[in-house]
Amino acid sequence: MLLYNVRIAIKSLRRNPVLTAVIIGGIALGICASTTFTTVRHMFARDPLPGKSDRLFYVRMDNWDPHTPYPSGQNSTGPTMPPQVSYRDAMALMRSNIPLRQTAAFRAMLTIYPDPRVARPSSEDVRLCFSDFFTMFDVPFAYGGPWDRRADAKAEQVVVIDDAMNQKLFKGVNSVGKRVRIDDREFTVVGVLKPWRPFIKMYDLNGNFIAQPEPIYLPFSLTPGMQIRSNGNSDGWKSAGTTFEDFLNSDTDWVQLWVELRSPADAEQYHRFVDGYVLEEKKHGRFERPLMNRVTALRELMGEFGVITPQINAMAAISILFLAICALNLTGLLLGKFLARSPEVSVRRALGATRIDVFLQHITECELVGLAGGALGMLLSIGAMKLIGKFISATSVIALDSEMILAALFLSLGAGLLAGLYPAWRICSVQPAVQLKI
Amino acid sequence: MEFGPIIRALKRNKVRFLLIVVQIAITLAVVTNAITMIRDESVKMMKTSGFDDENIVWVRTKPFAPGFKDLPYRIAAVNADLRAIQATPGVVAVANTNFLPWQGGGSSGEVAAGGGDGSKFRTQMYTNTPGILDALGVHLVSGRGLRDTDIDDDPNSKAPSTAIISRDLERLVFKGKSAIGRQLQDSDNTVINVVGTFDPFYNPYGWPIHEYAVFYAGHVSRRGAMYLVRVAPGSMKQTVPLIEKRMLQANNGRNIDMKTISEIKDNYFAQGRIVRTTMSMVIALIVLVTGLGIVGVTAFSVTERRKQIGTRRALGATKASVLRYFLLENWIVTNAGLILGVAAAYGLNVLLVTKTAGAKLDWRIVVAAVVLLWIQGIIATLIPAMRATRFSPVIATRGA
Amino acid sequence: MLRMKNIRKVYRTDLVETHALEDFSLNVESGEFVAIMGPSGSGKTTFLNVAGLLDVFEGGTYELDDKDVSRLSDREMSHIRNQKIGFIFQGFNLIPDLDVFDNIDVPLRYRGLPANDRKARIEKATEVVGLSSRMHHLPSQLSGGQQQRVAIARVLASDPKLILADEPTGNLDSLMAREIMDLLDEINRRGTTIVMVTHSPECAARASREIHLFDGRVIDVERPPALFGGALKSAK
Repeated sequence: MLLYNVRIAIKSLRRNPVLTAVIIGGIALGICASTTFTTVRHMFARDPLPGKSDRLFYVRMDNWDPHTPYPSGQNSTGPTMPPQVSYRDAMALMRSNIPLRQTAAFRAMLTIYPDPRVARPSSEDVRLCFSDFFTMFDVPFAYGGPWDRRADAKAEQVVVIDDAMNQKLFKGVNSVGKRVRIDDREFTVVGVLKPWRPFIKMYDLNGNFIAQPEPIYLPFSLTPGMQIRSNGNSDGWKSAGTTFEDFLNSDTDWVQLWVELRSPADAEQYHRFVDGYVLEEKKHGRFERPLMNRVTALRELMGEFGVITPQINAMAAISILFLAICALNLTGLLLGKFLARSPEVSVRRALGATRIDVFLQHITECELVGLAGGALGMLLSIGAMKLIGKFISATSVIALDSEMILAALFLSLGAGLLAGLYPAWRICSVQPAVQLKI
Repeated sequence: MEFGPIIRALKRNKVRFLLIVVQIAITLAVVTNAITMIRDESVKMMKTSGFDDENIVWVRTKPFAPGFKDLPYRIAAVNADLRAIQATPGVVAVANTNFLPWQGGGSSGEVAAGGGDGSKFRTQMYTNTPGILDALGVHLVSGRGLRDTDIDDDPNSKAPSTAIISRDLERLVFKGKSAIGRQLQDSDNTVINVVGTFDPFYNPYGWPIHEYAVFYAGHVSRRGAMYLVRVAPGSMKQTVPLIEKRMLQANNGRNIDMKTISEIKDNYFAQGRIVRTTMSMVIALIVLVTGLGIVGVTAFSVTERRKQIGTRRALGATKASVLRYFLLENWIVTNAGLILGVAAAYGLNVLLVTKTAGAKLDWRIVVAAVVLLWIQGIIATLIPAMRATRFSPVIATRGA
Repeated sequence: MLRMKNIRKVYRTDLVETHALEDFSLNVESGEFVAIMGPSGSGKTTFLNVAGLLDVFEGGTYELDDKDVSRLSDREMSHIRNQKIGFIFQGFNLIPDLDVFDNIDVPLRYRGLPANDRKARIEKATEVVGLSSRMHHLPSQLSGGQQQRVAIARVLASDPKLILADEPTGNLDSLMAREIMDLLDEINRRGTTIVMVTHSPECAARASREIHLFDGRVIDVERPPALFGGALKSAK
């Protein structure tokens, strides 16, 4: 009977192609708008590290000027406090053994000297981090792997490069063990990444989080020796001194500190540890502002740093309303269409169709329209997303993932059902009769 | 005149017209709020920096030659660059600076008026060579501009530095009095002598300090030198490759990146442009879809009333009176939708304002949208109603 | 086959009550071919609607095929219509979107018959009405007489016990009308009961019995009532 209903529905849709085009087009527009904007929102909102994000925590401490609080930013909804920590505090907190893993990190710009026969020297973005960084953020390796913790401790000259950099420097071969000069030192490659383009750079929400990950990773512990300064944000409220040593010991905030904690209990304990550290520092005249420390889970941090801008939310909301309009429109058109067909239904009823038969026949037509509109809408939204991707110069494509395709499918079936329910119910109550005109 | 029959017809087809009413209501709510979002973004985009944005290009050197570790070498390279760029045909002015307009940020610090009450003001702070005002195309308002002799390249110097400040910062810090000859103190307690003020200055920042700037005299060379170059109007295309060539001739121990301020500005407004484009599309489509809905419902009600219309025509109704009947019917439905819609528009706006920090709804936008939907309703009704006027009175005498 | 006793059917609007059938009784035996005649408004159509289980009635009882069908649910009525009753309409009432095959298929679908059974029935029925060659024509491509034959084939294929025909020749010229009546005769001879409403005395003459309705009741043709004696009663 389902196939029969589908066949009857197709015949009915073909009888009035203009009306059918308007109906399907309307639903397609609604689905296109709503999937496009909810997908864009979803790209920003979805869990960047499923199963793990509730164990990764970002550490902040208010070491700002005692006279004026840290100024609040535009999109952030979190507490008004420095978004990063100072080098000295990061190093002190890294001594804790509560976290399962931990890394301090920052972005720098260093000069890399390839084999002169291969390429000219160039300045590149480099991330300074600890070996745990790679495990914590699920960084995928093609060859080799992260350096070990001993390399962190001894500030060994080892480097991890990404796929593109490996292509550029070593023509894409397994380059583990090869050497490359960065600034004035020689480094040994220990790992090469697989192509890795997370939609948001979840480990650096404080910077441009739709930028690409850095192509080069060095042990954080090289920072003092090589006198590497941050090329990302750096916030200070008092003198950072003149020497590099002074800078490292200053209250300038430029380091991002991430810890992986096993359980809420550990998170609790770690927070107490941070509070304890700050209270101790207060005795030495630092941290003069009221005690404010934050150990924030990744997902929560995304909210506080405004990963989803108000505009994205507003557009998603408006696009859902747009779908509602399209569904209402569909209801009106189907109602007219079905009622115009009452004589035919009346004959079918006379010939023995039950109300349920009639209802199913018409709801099938609605679902067919919903599906056709949904499929067309999804095609349209793929185009629309490419366009938006270009606009915001996202480095990874905005694309429908399986979750969103399912959602779109569900949405279009739902829209068809919801829109068709009333018209199909109305047409059911048409009385069978003998004197009819078709 | 025809209200009675229309109202009765509406009552008989309650659901059908209710659908249109709700549709028009949501349409009005969406259209007004979408226009508000567009206007909000447009206002941001209309903001001008006050600089000659179209004719400025940003040049960044990324040195790799070992000599660049050495400060005197770097300063010499910067000076050589400034000479080479200035001598390039098409170049109007150049400055070595760490200021980059429209990047959505920059560097900032806190200053206090020397000898004042100690209250601190956050302001953007940049280091520049004297060409900066010419390179931006900004005017000196009072005092003098920076000079080469103001630059002190000694990193350990404790001597006061020299700076010019934006007029808005002068107003903020010196409360309307002239800043010329006064001092500022930064958070390192370094004294800054203010020698001039300039205007205009607007560079959007993460904090509300878009109009405040201190331009120190100095060289910027530590992580590679950066330059702002202003070229003769319209000569950007020819001049950019020349600049790069001349700079590499001067010193080829580095790579060179160039970006026009227009590109940087485009990038800064990318999200605003998405909002504008997509919201405009949403408005157009939503009006279209609702219009089609009205066309559909009117078409059905025209078909349904074929016989009635034919009878009326046979009894002497003119084509105009048939049209008037449908237009009036639609007008009543539209107005019911619009009344509901105005409430919905403000409701949605409150939601957007509180949940997403959107802009407040302007009543003029509501009025404009109401007019737009009236026009839409008339057009959408006319299309099928014109068909009704063509029904021949003969229909009445036929069977059905 | 059909036993109606004291049936009453009243149409109500806001303002008036119309007694379409009043104390209506009628027996039709199995295998009969009955013609129902009467002027407009005499209750013919109402009778067909009630007899065809298309409409509910208020008083009295109705037995169809020895089964009481007076108070059935909509669903039960649908099933009985589908299985025991065949309709032939004045306006043919074919579904314009569907070709001949699919039109005949409609009641069989609702009966849930397997595909090969349906196909066999449809082929046989079209053969009987002589339209085998037009199987995939749309109604709009057929003449009025052909369309009515499709409607008859639709009835034949579902093989009902009772055929209700409403002015089956009303929209046809006399030649075609005769063809259709021949077909009905033939069907009746095979044992199917037919109840036919008609205006036409020629058609009525083909039936084995004529019943005259007036003012919602069966009247004795031999003894007509005083002219319009009760006619005003129907509209209060």
